[in-house]
Amino acid sequence: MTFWSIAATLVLLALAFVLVPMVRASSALESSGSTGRRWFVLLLLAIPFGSFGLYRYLGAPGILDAQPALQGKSHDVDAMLTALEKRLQDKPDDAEGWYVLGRSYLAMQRIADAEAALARAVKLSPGEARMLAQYAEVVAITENGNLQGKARALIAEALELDPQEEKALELAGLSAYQREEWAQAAYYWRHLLKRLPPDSEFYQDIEKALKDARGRAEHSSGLGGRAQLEAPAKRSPPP
Amino acid sequence: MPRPFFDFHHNGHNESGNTSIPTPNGRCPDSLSFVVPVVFVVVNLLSLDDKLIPELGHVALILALQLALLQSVLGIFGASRGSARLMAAARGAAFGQGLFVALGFAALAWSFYVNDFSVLNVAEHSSRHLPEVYRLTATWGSHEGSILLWALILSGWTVAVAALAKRGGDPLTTRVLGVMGLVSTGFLAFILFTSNPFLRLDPPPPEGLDLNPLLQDPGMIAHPPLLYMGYVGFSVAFAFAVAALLSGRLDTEWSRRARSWTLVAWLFLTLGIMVGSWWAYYELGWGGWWFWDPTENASLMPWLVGTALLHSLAVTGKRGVFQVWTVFLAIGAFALSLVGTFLVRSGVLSSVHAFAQDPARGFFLLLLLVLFVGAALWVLALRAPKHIAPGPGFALLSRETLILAGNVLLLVATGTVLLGTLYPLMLDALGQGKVSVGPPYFNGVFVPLMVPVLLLLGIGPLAHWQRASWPEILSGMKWPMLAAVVVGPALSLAYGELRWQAMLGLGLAVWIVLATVPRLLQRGCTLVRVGMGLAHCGVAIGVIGIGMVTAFESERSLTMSAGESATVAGHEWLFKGIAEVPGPNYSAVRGTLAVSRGGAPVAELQPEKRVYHASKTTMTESAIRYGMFGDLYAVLGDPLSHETWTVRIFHKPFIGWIWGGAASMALGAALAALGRRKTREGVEA
Repeated sequence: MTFWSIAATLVLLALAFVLVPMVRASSALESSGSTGRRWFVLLLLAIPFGSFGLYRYLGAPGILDAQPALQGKSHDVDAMLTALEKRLQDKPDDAEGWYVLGRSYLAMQRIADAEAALARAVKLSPGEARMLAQYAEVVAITENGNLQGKARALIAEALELDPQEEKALELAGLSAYQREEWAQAAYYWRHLLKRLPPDSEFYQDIEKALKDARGRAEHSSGLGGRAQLEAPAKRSPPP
Repeated sequence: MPRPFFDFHHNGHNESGNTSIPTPNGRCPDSLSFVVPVVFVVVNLLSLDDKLIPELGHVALILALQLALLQSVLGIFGASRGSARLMAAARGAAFGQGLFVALGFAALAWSFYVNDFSVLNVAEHSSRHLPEVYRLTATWGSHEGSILLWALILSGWTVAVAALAKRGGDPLTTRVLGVMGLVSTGFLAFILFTSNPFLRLDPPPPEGLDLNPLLQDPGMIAHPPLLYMGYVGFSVAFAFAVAALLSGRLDTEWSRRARSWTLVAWLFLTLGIMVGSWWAYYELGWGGWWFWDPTENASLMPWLVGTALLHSLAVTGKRGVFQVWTVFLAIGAFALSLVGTFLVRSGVLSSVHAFAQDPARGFFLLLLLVLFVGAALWVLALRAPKHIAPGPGFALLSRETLILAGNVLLLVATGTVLLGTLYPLMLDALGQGKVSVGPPYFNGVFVPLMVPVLLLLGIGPLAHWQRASWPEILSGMKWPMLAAVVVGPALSLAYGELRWQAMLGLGLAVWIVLATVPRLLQRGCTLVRVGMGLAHCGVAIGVIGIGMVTAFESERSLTMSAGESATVAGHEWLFKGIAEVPGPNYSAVRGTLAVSRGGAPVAELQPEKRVYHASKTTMTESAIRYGMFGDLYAVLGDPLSHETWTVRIFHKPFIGWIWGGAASMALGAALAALGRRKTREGVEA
């Protein structure tokens, strides 16, 4: 409401800039008095309508009453999940459905359920890199974040199917990082970074991780002095 | 997408992902310490939601577009009808347009200042770690903001014209406002429909992409506004010329009134080019002062035609001749300003293909160029033959002819620059391959054209208006010419050896000064004459700088380890080593070079190499010891090992004189404008 009232004030101000001098100019010199009046009425109508129309076309009034993100969305997720579970009971060979369900469980920290659902998705559709990578993540979580054993094999499989898969690239980098293969980790993350929108949070996290890995790689290869330039993030490796 | 909870880089995330908007604190630099609090107080008084500001800025620009349209329609129509009401309304619209463009600009600047990344333009050209002063200059660091600055300056000129006009509004001024309103309308429409700075992002990103590191420099504060003041200032001369044509009164009045405006515009353009050249010199780290780069040429062309216009306006105002030629130059100077804006702003320079991929902006600008210039030339063709007032005649040998000859040479020089700038673009656009037109062409063609201009610059003041005589001119020329021929080579020899560039530069400078100054003293010093003398001596100073630096500059690339020293250009350079220094949004290594001459310390130079965090670009920061008779200039190259670096060292004799000359020209123009204002007030009072 504030916006519309201020905008209206601005429109009135704009009108005043034109109409006040028009009225105040001496009409004595005017050959026909109606010219001024016609323009007066025309402008009084045209400017407010023109402004409103142009703003509707160009502006973003929606941003003013945008709700803070995700407020009160939790209820919807629950409902959605129930619906999905029900659908999968009727149609148990829907790999995509199991994949979405697994991810939803993961988001809700129901790790065991997530693993079961994703295992099912991978079994039903073994050629999907993104499903394999997601499964690898859940497997690693059940093993306290260890990305070496089964998870590593899954990641390798995913990357073979699709060398550009984002989750797989992220996890492959992390896996290499855990093995202290810094250059390898940097390699994966560099590839990943190329595929991410630069303004995303994810991009910045990976960028930081990449910087860290690069710093360590250069440090361990004896270029320590120059690597300082990159200002490595002083962070401990994953638990 | 769910995030892995064991993600090790997550814990540090809140440092950068913090979306709260920092409140301004008192650390803003002096120049901005006035503007920022005022805006801050206004916003606080209204206690507005920050989200509102960009939208209100958007509304302000929409209103400005409509007022600009009214300004042009009411101005041109009202003046032709002779309606006092409509003319007063046009003047009011001009003031309103100025206010609303300023509000729009302030809203954008505010969004940059508070890091409102929900504005796409801010998210793309700023970041939280950008120092405050560059957060504000980033306002014009993007395409959208830059064009908005263009519009802001145009509205500034408009308001100035409107404010200085008589209250009742004479038809000539009203028509001028009308023509300027057309230009404003074109540019505001360009902004709103193709280059909108107020596009929003919902939800906003947590961090911006940062400003191009090249633009994070004090030069960015002054260069674009100065240059645009010049570019856009020529629109006033253009508007006066077209208004004179429309009113059918091609007499001396319009040229007299347009001359002061043109002087001021030319002054700013000169300063803008000067700052740009100096910026390129210290920031790019190439050690040169002019590269014949298309962006530089884009500003040189309007300057050359503007210079011709200034002289032509003087003749038209004083003698009433060259009416059509002057109108033509006024149209030409503004047309080349638009060409410059098109070249720099359409993306055509970075690649003609980039232009083809996103043609909306380029075509819109090209359309504006064709419309404005086409319409103006059409009116010229239609009106000029009918309304030209025959001026007094002049003989073949007269000051009029000499100025005209200088004008033609300047125009030919502009043509060669235009050709060299556009030809490669045209070939590329037509798929005929890439050619590069560089300094060899420009130096080869431009210099021979400018030397006669500089010779004429000395002869002009010696000749009488209307009819001059050879014996008189020759007797005036005799001593300056002789001095130039003797002193040029002598000074060059005294500096080191005989080099033709130095002899030519020094000789021409002596010629200009000796032919101008005594004449000036003889005829008495008015402000206008002193201004002219200062401007012409500025040319002489600049020519000395150009000649000397071209003839005697020296450059060495060295590999140095800490503790090593070398002798370059008569100085001993001791490399003291490398240190790491953190910056606000970059990290840097800084080398230290102690310079001494014959054991006495001269300077300590600290060139840097910076890596900017957000964009990962490496920048070289040169270190310069400025001196009256030459600069010492050092750049850090690449590391060969931790201890050993390549270092480039330059000695640039007299290079500062080039910019000093430009400053003197600008000062001269300022004095002349001031003098004209005084005499006019005197006449009117």
